[in-house]
Amino acid sequence: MKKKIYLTIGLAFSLLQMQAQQAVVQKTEMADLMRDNGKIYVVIAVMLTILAGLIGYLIRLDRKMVKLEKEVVYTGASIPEASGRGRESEN
Amino acid sequence: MGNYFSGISWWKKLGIGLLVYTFIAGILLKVPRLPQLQETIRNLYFHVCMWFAMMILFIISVVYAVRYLRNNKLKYDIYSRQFAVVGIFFGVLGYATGIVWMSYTWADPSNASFVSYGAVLREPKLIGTAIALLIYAAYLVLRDSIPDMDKKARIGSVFNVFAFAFLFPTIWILPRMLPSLHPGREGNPALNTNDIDGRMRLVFYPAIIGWTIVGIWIATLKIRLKMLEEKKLVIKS
Repeated sequence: MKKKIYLTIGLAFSLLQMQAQQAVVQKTEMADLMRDNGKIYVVIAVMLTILAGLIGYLIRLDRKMVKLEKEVVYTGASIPEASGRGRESEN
Repeated sequence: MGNYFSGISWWKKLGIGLLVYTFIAGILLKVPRLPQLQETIRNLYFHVCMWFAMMILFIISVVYAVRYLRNNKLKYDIYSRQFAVVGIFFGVLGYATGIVWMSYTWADPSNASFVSYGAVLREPKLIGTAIALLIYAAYLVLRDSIPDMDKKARIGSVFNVFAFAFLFPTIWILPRMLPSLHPGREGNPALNTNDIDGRMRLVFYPAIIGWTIVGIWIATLKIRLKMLEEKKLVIKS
């Protein structure tokens, strides 16, 4: 009889412990609140604005470069290779 | 607005799209709940991608260095140099983002291995990458300090190959042989299928491609500018 009681108590304790561990695992804090009230979209909006700014800047640079490259070709000032006075002439 | 993207090549548009996707899905999609990392696990899409972009840019750089050494076209040296610069830039960004991430995940008072900043300073990954980046910085200093075009290109390209070779002991081999707080010591960090959650791979791989494309884009802009400058230089002299 005593043995049985000990066993049940032991089992109950181990079960409790397992549950406690599970609770710890589930308690890992994430930004759930921000997701629930939708504030996370504010973060995304800010991030996207920065990205749009940076990419827009890159695109502007790219277009300016295209314009410049066209100008150089148009005035006939271009020399085919930057290696115009490279080593080929030496050898 | 519809006109705005005209003349922008498809791979640049792809990069923009992938980054927009990364920024939205990277924040909204579900990630595993891990006690130490919590939401900061999303930094994987940003911090780790910086290093991937750096490595890919350095690979492109060394390929052009070797091409220069093989057929002595000065433009390959310019390519090589500009890709290396953008690679260093991404490396510094990786370092900076790592500092922020580390101070909120490693700097845990209950973590015994983090008793002081000494533990961070002894971090093999940080020391290794610092050495690698400094070697690349030395490449820039060396190459740009030589006035003669051909000498500059030849010495620069040789040093570039050396700097690339040194990436392997400093960032790939040594950090894995020493104890470290930094994750990913046991295999290929973030590429291992057991190491990264399937849900995260859905954002992680596009993020790598997106960031790398932006890096290449910046490098090509710098190359085009440099080529224009070189052309002008040749005309005037």
